[in-house]
Amino acid sequence: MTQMPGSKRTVLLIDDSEDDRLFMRRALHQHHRLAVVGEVCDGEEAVAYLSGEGVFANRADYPFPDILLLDLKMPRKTGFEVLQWLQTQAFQDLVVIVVSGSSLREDVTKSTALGADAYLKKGALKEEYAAMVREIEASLDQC
Amino acid sequence: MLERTAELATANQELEAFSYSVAHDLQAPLRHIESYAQMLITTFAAQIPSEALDYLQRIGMRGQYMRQLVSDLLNLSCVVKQELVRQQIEIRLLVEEVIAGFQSEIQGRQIEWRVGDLPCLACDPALVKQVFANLISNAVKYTQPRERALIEVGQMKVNGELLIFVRDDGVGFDMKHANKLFGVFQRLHASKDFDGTGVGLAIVARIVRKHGGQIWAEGEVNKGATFRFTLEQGPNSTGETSPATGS
Repeated sequence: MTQMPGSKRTVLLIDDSEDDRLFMRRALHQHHRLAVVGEVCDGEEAVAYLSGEGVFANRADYPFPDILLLDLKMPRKTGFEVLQWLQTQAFQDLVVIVVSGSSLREDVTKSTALGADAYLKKGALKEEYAAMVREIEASLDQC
Repeated sequence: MLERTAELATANQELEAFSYSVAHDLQAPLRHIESYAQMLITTFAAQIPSEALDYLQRIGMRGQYMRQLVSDLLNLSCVVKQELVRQQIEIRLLVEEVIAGFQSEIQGRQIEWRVGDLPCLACDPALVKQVFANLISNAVKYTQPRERALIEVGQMKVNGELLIFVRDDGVGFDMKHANKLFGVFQRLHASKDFDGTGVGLAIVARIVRKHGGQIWAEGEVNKGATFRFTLEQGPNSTGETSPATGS
């Protein structure tokens, strides 16, 4: 991924939990290299956002992100379905990181098989969120 | 017979759905309780009376404990349903890897590790690693009051059968409670003295039984504990022994 040194990476949060989005937003806010540019609460909205459809057509308000932080279990369209859809698209530089409450081996394996760049487990404490942000950064360096 | 099989299949499906729900749904509110409690403490500490701060800390800690309980139960159910994938492994390498993983946790403590001869066995590496991780974690935990602790891992032959053992010289336990050790949520020590949920040894016992093996525990109050177990050898096991190492 080519990126100007020091420039911010933009993040789209995809999670049906308002609480998790709040905690992620707070954790990312304290980080100068990552900026949340959008939040959606299920897979269908994520697809619409990335496709620039409907209310998301205006890229000035809804910029295309560098990174997706994708929850798995969501209503309407799950994280797995979003990953499947992404495989049919040509978003070459998009980094997709699954952020899930589940540590089930099958969820990790399936996410990786469907093209996720990394799989992170949701935490609760600020130290766990700080570690998660460090892992997001490490994933970006590898992509 | 067919009806019974169908009933069992339904029960299994329900169990799977339950595990999935635990993994994805039940842990989330517990995480959130913990997060909000911590957020209040760190953001508004100066405006909250000290008694209220203490209650908030308790809410956070109880949430964390409940989350650990749920996570341990989920691990247990995963172990129960997981299929064994046996492959030939040197148990000694696995044990050394597990011990290395504890280094940051035991910083500042004086622990002598004695790793004796250990066999090469055909077993599920991930599951057997979990056995050693749980047993060694217990040994590390229950030797905490010792200024200098000794933890040994090795093998012995009893009546021609190869047993692997993990031994420590920690606080031990009263043998009259030995039958409770491998039960779920059974704890022999007060949580104020030693943390834990009482699921670790239940997981160990399930994994050993899954391999067709057996496990025994021996202990004496204030003199330490020894866990011995067998892992039934698969058809590819060589029974060869890796040389002992000290650390």
